[in-house]
Amino acid sequence: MSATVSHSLLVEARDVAKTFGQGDLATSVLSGVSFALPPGELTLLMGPSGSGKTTLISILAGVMRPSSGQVMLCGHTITSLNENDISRVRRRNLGFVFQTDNLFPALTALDNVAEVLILKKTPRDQARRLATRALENVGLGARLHHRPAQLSGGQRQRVAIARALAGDPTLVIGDEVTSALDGASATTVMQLLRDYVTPKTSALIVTHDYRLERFADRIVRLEDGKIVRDCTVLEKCS
Amino acid sequence: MISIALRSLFHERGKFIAALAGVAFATSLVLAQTGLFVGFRQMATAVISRVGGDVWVMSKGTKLLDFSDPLSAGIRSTVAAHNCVENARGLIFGWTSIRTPSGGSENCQVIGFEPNNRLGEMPWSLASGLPSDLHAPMRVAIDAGELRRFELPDSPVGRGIQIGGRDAYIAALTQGMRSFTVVPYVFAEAATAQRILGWGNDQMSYWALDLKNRACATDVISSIDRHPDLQAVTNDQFRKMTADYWVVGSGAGATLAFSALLGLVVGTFIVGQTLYSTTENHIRELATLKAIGASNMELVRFVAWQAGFLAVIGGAIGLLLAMTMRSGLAMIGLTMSLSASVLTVGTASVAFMCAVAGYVSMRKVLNVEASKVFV
Repeated sequence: MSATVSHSLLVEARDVAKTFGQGDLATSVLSGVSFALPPGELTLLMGPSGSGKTTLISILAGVMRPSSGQVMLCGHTITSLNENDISRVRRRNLGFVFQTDNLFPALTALDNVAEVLILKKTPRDQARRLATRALENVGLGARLHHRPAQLSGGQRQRVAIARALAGDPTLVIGDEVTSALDGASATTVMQLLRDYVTPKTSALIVTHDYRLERFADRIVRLEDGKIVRDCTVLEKCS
Repeated sequence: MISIALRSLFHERGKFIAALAGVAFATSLVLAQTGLFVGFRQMATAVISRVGGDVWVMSKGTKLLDFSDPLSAGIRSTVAAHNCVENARGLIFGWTSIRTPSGGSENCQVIGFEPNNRLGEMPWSLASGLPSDLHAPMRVAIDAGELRRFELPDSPVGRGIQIGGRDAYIAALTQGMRSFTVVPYVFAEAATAQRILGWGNDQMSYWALDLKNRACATDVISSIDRHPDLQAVTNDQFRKMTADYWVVGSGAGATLAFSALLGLVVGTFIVGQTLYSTTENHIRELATLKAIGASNMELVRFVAWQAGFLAVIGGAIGLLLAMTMRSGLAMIGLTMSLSASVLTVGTASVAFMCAVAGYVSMRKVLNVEASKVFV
């Protein structure tokens, strides 16, 4: 594992660029992106389609390598780590919520959450206790033994949030987490993420939805692969 | 991961049942074909195995048990001359026909034996009658499975029957001694067989030699091979010669091997298709696990557990099917062996089938990109 770079930041990207393809077919998706995320923030990463949001979040989460630049995640320079070590960093520190819930259809809500904890080496009994508590925290205490097909879209997304939060991650990364939900469900989901953010934890959410700005501490706007605006709610962002 | 893998497998019930059926079908086919192959070999050499002896002596140029020239009288003293030979037992193997009660004719192979001098018994177990019942002149034993063919009742002991144009009497019934050539055996003591076949006293087809010490077999064989009209081989060699002639030379072995291979290929495709489609259907969930921090090995276990489960349960069902088939085949006179070697081949085949079927899915899993979950 690499040496710690900065203890005060959960994510730090320096001059990150990403190009897909080679030669005449090369397409630059990100260029010269620098970004820092301290603990205690819910940050929205916004921008139009094709602006590079998903690529940036993939690189920051350590599931895609940049073409150049350096990324530090929870104290580790992941751009110089091998795949196994990056996996370990993700396993210990990150929780993910996606556009679709990506739950295993054969497993109950409880098992979908517990199995991920077991994968993170949590003993089975403890994993089930933690999973139960996480599902109760998202209001699904009465749906522990329901399979995904027996839950609504909003409930499934709440199971996905419980799965992401059950392991007490330092950083929650979300990608269009409300895009498939109605207004009420979207509010519930965002409030859950908002409540998770403490002085020691953060959330980084990619979204198109301006209605979610009220939950944010900070908004970063990306256009044509570059950060064009980075402001906190104390400032005027619009 | 075992819980996720197996519950995902059970969740798609139709595909799960199809995959289990595929493994079971392929297993039973491989076991049946391999079992028949071994069974045919055993059937073709059953007489040699039952008679025993360390060295077999026969006329020069003999390639298999079923076809040989009679040896002249007096050979007994030649083959028993070596001081390592403890006992020489003559065996007659000749072809003739039986007149059925309705006036028809059926070919048969007459096997005449000298009772094992040490044990005083015949080399076949009897389903009905006693070995001593064959001591009287012109007494024969036939196999219980051939009664219908000879148009005989279920309890034929004591009935007269015309064999080779001579009158004989059924004194006993054997069980499960049926010929690979489908021509029925008729068993008799040597003197009776010689009379039926019209051979002279002491004329035999084979001499089975019991040695005082098996280590001297090579020496005994080379001493007999010096005789211009004789050849000698060990019991194992003679069984191999006979089995190879019928099972390999006739093409039966190749046919059975091809069928077994076909079963293996079909089973591999069915299982492979099921595992692949299960993996494909869960690719986003697997990518999610990878993003969360699951290693490639943990994802490979997803497929490995499914393939392993299908192999064990499908293989067990296939074995039960094969055992049922064996009982059915026995009723029509076919021997299907499920010996340790056949089961080993079956187990190895199932393991191979599921490993190959799982390989493509494992590659798919290894190529899962965690970044796909963000798309």
